[in-house]
Amino acid sequence: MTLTDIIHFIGYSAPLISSIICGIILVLCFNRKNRPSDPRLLKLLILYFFIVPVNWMSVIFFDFMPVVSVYCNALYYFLLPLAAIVFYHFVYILTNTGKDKQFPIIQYVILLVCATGLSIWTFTIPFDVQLHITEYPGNIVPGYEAFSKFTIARLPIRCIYNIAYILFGIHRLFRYRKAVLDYSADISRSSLQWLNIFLVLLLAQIPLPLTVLLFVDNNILTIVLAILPIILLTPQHVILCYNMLTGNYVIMDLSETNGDNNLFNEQQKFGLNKKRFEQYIHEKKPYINPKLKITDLTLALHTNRTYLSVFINTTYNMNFSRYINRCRLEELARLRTNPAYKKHSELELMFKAGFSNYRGYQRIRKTEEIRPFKSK
Amino acid sequence: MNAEQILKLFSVVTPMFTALTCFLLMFRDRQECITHSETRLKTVLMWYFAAVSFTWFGVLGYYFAPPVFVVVNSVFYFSELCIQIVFYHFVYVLTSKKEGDRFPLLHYLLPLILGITLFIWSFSIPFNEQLYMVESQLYITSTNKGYSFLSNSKLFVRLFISVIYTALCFYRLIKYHQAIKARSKRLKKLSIRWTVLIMTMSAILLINSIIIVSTPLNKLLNSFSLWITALFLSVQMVIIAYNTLMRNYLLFTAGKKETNKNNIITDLIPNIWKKQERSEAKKPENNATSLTKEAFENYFLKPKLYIDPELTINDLIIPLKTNRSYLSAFINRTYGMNFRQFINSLRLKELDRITKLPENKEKSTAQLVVTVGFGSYRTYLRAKQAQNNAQPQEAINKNNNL
Repeated sequence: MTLTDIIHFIGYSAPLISSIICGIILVLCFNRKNRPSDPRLLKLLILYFFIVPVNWMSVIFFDFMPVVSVYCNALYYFLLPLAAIVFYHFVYILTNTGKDKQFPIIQYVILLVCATGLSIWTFTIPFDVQLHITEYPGNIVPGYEAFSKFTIARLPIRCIYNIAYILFGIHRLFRYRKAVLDYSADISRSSLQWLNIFLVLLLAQIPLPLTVLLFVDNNILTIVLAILPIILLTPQHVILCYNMLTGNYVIMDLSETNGDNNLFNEQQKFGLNKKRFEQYIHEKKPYINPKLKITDLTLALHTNRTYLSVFINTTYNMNFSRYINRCRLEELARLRTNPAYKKHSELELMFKAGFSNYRGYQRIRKTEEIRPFKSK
Repeated sequence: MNAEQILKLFSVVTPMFTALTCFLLMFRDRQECITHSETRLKTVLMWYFAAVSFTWFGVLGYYFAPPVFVVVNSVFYFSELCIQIVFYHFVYVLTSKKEGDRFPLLHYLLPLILGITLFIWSFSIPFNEQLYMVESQLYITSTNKGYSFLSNSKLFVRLFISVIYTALCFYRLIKYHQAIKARSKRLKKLSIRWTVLIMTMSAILLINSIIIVSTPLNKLLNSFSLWITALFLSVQMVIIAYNTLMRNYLLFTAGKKETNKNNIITDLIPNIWKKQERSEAKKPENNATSLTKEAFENYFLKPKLYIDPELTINDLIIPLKTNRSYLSAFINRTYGMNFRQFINSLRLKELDRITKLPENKEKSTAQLVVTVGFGSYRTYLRAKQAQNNAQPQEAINKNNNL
């Protein structure tokens, strides 16, 4: 057992163990009565956290125990691609902008068919040949050229496959972040910054196995590259687990809002004018609810979501989230000058104005400083 | 590498990365804490996980990479001895009843002294001889008897520390359970169940560490007891991390007025804000009368809303045009107690008032208790006991003067 082996092992076991621990914590959370998270999301993430360790175990077997690795080959045809799909499914639900249909189950079916086909093919190859290919990757065994080539191609195929899914995820996230600004005013929850960090880091890690292949002789570099997953994947799992535990996201739920068309037509007669809208905002102060969503206003204003969103966008030339957060900033300024709140701390006033936490407040303050709103 | 070696590596790596994961979770959660006591609790816990993680890293070095171990030897010594003390520190913060109850840092003195001694001593011993000491895996080597004895004494010193501090933890937790039982059923369910589980695990780990001490160092890695330690320790850490993240505990210190601070809210401020506030040098004024207090009392105290036994803090948010965090912080700051304590104290006061009324002379306390908003007689007794036990006299006086 050389030092390089041990460092490799540590590198592979870090994400393995951290993922199991995060999975266990989420399972414990799932069994609570008042769980903070959506059960579908929790289930998918738990599934993901239990597939990931199996995959890392496969890497350990591949490097250190080729015999076991050969036995498990068929299993990995299913599990390695499954992790990417499950995670994409998770992102899919999280970033639903209301227009999307159910997650296309066909993706799972395709995976199942392909993996079953590959497993059957693998079973026709003699054990010795498989072992030889696993032990000396890159060799082409005469008589089994196709299978040898497939084994070599497996790693690049997996990389491309994973990159594709992550890019899909990032694309959806961008779309969601645009749409959510017209839906929720809770900027720290709805921005899903943590998911963005997770996906970008994941994308950065994918080329790693390829580089290891290229520099297989260079010891120091391989060591460094093997340690990188420790540094990154463990905190990444923690990011996912923590934000799921605290429910740090907003799922756009638009199902109940598109119904009442009669009311909408009636509304168009009276018109939702600026005066009435502002009167409502200033009197009722809906913005002091940190989790305010656009659908919370529609009933009181006798309108529907689409109309209200368009109204705010055209009248004030900004989206719902920005409008509400500007109201909060104004409220905060009012509270500061109010002598009655003199002895309150800034943080207390910030809560009172409707900001859910300090970070959200700071982000809004910064953006408003950079592009101050010019009133029409 | 064969299967046996992989299993050995796993037995060392599992607690190391479990602790690392829990450390990162705590690190993240610490940033979201609002009250000072919670931040303190999580900081201590964070250091506990860090110490465990580092110690197992040391074990890994000892058996698999001796040169690494030689470099970190003294730090490893310190962190290994600290584990149990930091754990006691965590239990101390969790169970402390008075605000401003400082954990005496003197507890860390022994590991610190031994660690520094080892560190200084290590300079006089050539690296090769230190390496030989580690690789031979003997308790005492022939060449550097004194040094190797000190370096390997950690197992015995640790056992000694474990016995004392586990006993202390048990003592504090039992007292804590008694105090919680007096408060409420819900809390009893929440905080007692897992703390009992943790106490059981600590007991098992303690017994196991006696076995570890009696095993020769070179056979330790193959022994079953190392696996038991790794497994139980990991499970224990996960339980602690989960329950702290879910806030399944009751901090007696949270939400009480600190004597040396003008304003409890200064404690609600996260670190980033504190820095900024210090630079701006703002000082909250203490005696400015607050409009909100009037509004709150007009809405809440005069109509005696608290006689509704099912009243929760959420019921007040909309009528008072505020939100939960703010209202809760407001009650803490203005009345020096949390919402439940505050309501119960009002009910007790109301009870005192109506028992003195002539028309209630013939009614029993049990009847009256229900009319002031206690769900049952038991709730009343518990509230009364809690007030007598936990509430400092000044807070009661303050209440009576409302």
